[in-house]
Amino acid sequence: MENEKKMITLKSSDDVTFEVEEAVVLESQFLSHLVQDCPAPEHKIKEVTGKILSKVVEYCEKHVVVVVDGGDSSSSSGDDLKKWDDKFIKEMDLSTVYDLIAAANYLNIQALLDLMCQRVADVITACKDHKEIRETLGIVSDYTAEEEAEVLKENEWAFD
Amino acid sequence: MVESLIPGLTDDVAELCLSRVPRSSFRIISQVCWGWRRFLRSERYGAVRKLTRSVEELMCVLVNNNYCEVFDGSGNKLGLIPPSPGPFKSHFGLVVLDGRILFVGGQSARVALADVYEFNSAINRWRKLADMNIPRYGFTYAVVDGLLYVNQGYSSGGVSILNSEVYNPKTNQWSLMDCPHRPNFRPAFAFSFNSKLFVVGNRSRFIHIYDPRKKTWEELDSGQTGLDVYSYTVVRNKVYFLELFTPELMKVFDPEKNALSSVFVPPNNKSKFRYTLGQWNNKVILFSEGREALSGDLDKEDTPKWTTTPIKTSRYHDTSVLINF
Repeated sequence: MENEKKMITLKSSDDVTFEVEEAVVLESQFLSHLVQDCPAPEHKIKEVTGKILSKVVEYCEKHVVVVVDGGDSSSSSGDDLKKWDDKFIKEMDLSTVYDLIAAANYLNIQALLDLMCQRVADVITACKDHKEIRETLGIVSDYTAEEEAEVLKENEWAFD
Repeated sequence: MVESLIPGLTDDVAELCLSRVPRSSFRIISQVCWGWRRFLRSERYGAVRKLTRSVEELMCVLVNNNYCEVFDGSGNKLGLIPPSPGPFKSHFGLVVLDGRILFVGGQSARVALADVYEFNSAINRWRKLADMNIPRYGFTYAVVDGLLYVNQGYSSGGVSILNSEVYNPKTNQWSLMDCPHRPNFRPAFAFSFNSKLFVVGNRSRFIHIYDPRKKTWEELDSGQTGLDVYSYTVVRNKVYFLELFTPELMKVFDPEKNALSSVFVPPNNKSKFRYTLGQWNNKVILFSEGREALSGDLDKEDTPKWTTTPIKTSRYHDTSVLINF
C-alpha cells in the first residue's frame, strides 16, 4: 500500500466544493454508505450549506483516525484533541452550533453531535436562572403568571 | 401549534441537549416552559439521559429518620425526597432495589411494622409495596442479585425473630426462609459479596453466609468476639464499620480474605453526635452533624487521607443510599 490516498469531493447545497481524503469522509456514517454505494467522484449534500460543511470537514479532518504501519491506530492525543474541540466550539455562535447539530445528525457523525449538544447544555447550565435561559435560547414561556409563581416555589428536587 | 423545545432545533436533538444539563440545574430548567417541564417529568427523559451517558450518581442521605437530602457528585445539595408515607418510624431498612429507594418495616410507637414503601425518583412518588410476612424492626438487610433479603430482627415487644424473608421486585412478593440462629444473636449488618449474602451479628464471632444458588447457609468464623457496630457501609467489595466503644477507629472487613483491619478517623470532639458512614464517589464518607462530611482516601490503610467535602446535612443523619438519575 502506498501513500496514494483516495480523494473525494463534497459539494454543499450552495455549490461550495471540498476535496477531502476518503478517511475523512468515513467519520460520517451517512457519507461512508454514500461513497460505498455510489462511486462517483463528487457528492452533493443538499442539506448542508458551504459554511457549515467547511466546519464539518474541519472537524472530521482533525478527528480522523490515522492508521500507521503495524496496525496501530492513533489520532491526535486525547488532550490535544480536547483542547482543539474547546477552541472549535468557543468561537461559534449558537446559530452555527444549531446548524452543526442538524448537519451532524443528518450526516451521522456521533462525536460531533455529542460535542455540539454538550455545548448547548453548557450554555443552558451557565445561565443563572430560567429568565436568562429563555432570553439566550429565544424561548417564549407558556406559563401563566400563576403557574410560574407556583413553579418557582417548588423546592423539591424533582416533581410531584 | 406546539412550540419546539428549543427554537432552531428539532425536538429529537433538543432532547439530547437538555438531557446533558446536570441534575444541579434541574429545578431551573424545569421553570423555563411547559414543553421542557413535560419532557423532564417524562419517562423518556430518563431514557435519553441513559443514551447520552448523562446519568449521575446521587447520594440520598436520610436525615432525622424521616426525609432524604439529595447530593450530587460535586456535593451540590439538590433538594429533598419527601418523607415516606405512614407513621414516623425508626429501626427500618433503607435500601435501593432496581433503582428505587425502599423503606422496609421498622417500628412506630413500639409496634413492629410490616409496611414497605418504594420511592421512584423518575416520577417523585412513593407507593406501597407488598407487606412483609412478619412485622419486624432492627433487622439486617442486603440486596443480592436483584433480590432483597431481610434477616431476623425483632417483633413488637422486642422478641427476636428467627427467620428471614426475601423480596422479589418482579413479583412484588415476600417469601419466608429459614436461617441459622444462635442464642442472643444481635443483628449488626448484612452485605452482598460474590452473589452471596453475608450476615454479621454483634457480639458474635460467626458470620452467616447464604448462597442463593444452592439455597444453603454456612458459617464463617471471623475470630472477632466483641463487635458492637452502629454504622456501616460497603465500598468496592469491602465493608467499613464503626463501633460504639472505639470511636477513634473505623474497622475494615475484607470478605475475600476474611481479614479485619482498622483505620484511624479524625477526632470528632466538636460534635456531640457520633460519626456515621456512607459511600460517595466510590469512597467512604464520614458524616458528622453540624460540620462538613469527610471523604476517605483509603488506598493505603496505614496512612488514610481524609478530605473535607462540601456536604453538610442539616440534621443528624443515620444512613444513606445511592441512586442513579
